[in-house]
Amino acid sequence: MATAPLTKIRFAGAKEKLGLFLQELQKKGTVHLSDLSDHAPDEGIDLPGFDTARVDFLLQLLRPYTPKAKALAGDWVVTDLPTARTKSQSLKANFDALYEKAEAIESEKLQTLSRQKEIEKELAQLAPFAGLEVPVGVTQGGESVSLLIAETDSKSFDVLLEQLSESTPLYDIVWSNKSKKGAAFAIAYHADGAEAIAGLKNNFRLAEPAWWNNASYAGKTTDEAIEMLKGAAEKLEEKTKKGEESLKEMAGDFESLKVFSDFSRWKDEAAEAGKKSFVSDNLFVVDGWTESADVKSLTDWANKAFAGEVIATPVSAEELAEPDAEVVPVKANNGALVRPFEALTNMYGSPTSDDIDPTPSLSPFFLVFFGICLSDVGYGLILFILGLVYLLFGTLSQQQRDMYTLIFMCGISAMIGGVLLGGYFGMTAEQLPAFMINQSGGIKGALIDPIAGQGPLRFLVFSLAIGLFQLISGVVVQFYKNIKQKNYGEAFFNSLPWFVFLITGIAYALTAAGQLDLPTEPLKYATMATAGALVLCLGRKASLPMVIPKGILGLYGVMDYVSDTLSYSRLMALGLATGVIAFSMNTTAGVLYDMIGVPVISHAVAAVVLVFGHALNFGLSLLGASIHSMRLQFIEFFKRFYEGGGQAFEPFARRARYILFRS
Amino acid sequence: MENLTTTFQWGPVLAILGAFIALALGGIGSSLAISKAGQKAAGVLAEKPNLFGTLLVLTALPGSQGIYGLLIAIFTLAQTGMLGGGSADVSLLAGVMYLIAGIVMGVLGLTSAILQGKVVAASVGAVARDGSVGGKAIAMSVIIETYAIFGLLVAIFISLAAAGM
Repeated sequence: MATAPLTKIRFAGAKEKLGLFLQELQKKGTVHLSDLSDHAPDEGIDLPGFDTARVDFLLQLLRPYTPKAKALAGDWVVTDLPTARTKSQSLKANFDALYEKAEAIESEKLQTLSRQKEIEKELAQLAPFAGLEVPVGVTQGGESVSLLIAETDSKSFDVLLEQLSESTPLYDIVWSNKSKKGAAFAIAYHADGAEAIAGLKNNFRLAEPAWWNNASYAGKTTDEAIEMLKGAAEKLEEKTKKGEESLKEMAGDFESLKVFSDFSRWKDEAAEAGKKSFVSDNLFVVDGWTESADVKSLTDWANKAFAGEVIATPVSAEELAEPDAEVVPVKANNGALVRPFEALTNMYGSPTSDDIDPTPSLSPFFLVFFGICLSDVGYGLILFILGLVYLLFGTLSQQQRDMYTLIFMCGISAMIGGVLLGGYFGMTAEQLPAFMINQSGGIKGALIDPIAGQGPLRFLVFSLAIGLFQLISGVVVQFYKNIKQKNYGEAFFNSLPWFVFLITGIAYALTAAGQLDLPTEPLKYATMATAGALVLCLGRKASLPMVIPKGILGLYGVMDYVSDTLSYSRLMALGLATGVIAFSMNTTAGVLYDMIGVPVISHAVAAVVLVFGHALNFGLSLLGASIHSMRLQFIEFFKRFYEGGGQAFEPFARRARYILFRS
Repeated sequence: MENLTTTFQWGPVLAILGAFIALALGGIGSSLAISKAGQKAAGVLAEKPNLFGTLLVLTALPGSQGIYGLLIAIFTLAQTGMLGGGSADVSLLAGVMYLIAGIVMGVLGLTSAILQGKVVAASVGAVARDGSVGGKAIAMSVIIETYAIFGLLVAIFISLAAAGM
């Protein structure tokens, strides 16, 4: 299977050249670095990096002030290396000043926001007292006259007035403002009525508002204080606008900032890579892995590019200090149609260096299972169009291209699944156009009607059959892997007997059930013979008396195949669920349409139900189809031949978040 | 009472009850398990967002029991002719058998899902510490599902037998 052969390469040179060497090696982007830090002396080395956190802060701060990126262009800056370098260097020269200015604006913005919130709160407190002409802070109206300023709810205010009139005549309601929200009032009272007023204050829990003693309002009426606050709020608003305009201006060259962000991160990563190096007083050593095909060119480059102060030599397996402890990375080398599925394999775990890459085996099965689970032409068409549009018109990195290729292929698979199962946005045969209906009233192209008659059972059998096919394929791959690893014993005494036994057993079972027209007796004896051979093969490593018991115990593994096969029944469940839910959405829309019965409104409501219902079904079905298709690969399929646990080849390279170099 | 036992169609009712039990218990089990696993995975995701793919697969594993319950429910409705909207001619014996099939699937689904959720939560912890053990963690988490599959198998057999009654 498709992995590229790798060779270990060692670079050694003068210590002071390490920083430059790593930056140039990073540009090459073809070496997976080994970690030698465990072998390094304690001092280590700190190469100058860059505080990328400041760049990220600036990017995050200015992004809202940039024009929205076009959907298909993404966040990429498509450019060439010289232009990118020029932009980065020009921004670098001004970066510190730019950062300080942005930081100051952001800090001021936060303070302004805080003060604006305070002002809003104060305005809310003053609002009930708008119209009160008594200056703020006044509590005495003369020698014997005092002022009670307070607020309460409307009902309590009415009761308060009643009780006030009953308790003392020595008062006057100077001002009041009653509304549904409450009542604010100012009552002047004579000193002789103070006791009665105090009693009422206690009973109704009346208190002077806290702002009545606020020095900043002293001498002003409430209206004047409100105007003052509004003026302050307006000034803060202007300040905020000015700050935003400055930020908008700074965001004018956002592209250069993105380019600079990538360059600074690369410098930082090169400095980090220094920590993986072995550094002594005078020398450095950097180990790495590269494709065997690139070894010569890399060696020549290193030996020439640093005026003889860095040398590179390939390291053979015999020269490795600890060959068993060496973790060899694995570089997948799949074609354009299989490469998109590498992300799935990496989710489980990369292969080890002596293992096979399961991606080519996994890819067709994943596609088929996805198609069965989603099984709707309409939903498949959405994925197909999405993938196609981005592939043709989008600005994409290699990784994004692979992702959209996968989406495109899954769309095709779902459309095929939809045709075979008659899934067209959940529509029944009666709802589809006449040209799609065959003479017997069924949908053209549909091999199974998943909800009518024996359809569900046939669909279940189909799902189990395809699952069993994958399991047997897993045994075949296992055989291949054992041959490749020169593990001939396992290949011919484990994988092969299992394969033969399964094939004959299934053929016999189908013949006995009347599904195949083959001679039953010969198949029966063939199955028994292959079972016997399997028992002997599985027990071959045991002592002579234990060969058969151990072999019979090993034969229990057939239950593993039974339970794994049953797991594929989920394909039927998910495929059916997609269609049934889509059908339910259509039915609901139809029912609402009939119930409302008003021409435009009923159309609108039905349309809304259809759009949201199908969007929800599409999302959930897509998630279910992806996850369960993956799960079947990882658990039922990989169990036969694959463990993972390897280390993926990750070259020390300039990984761009924003720059897409024109090739 | 006599009218109730002679005129009320117990067969279809028991069959639907069986379908309901399979679906409901399987769904409850899966919901509880995925909730437990998902909460732990969400915490790990905050620290290690690059593990999203593996964590998503792990979290989804206990969902199988809900699917099996759905499968038995659909199977029961299909076998009794009720799935396409037709009327069901189900004898009392067949109804009881469908009910038992539903209980078998439901109970095994509920129990295995809840316990699988605990295993998955622990596996999420293992993956959080060492991302390269994703495959092994996934493999460990599915062993318990074998018993739900046995329940599915028996429930299917009972349903097929009931169809002939």
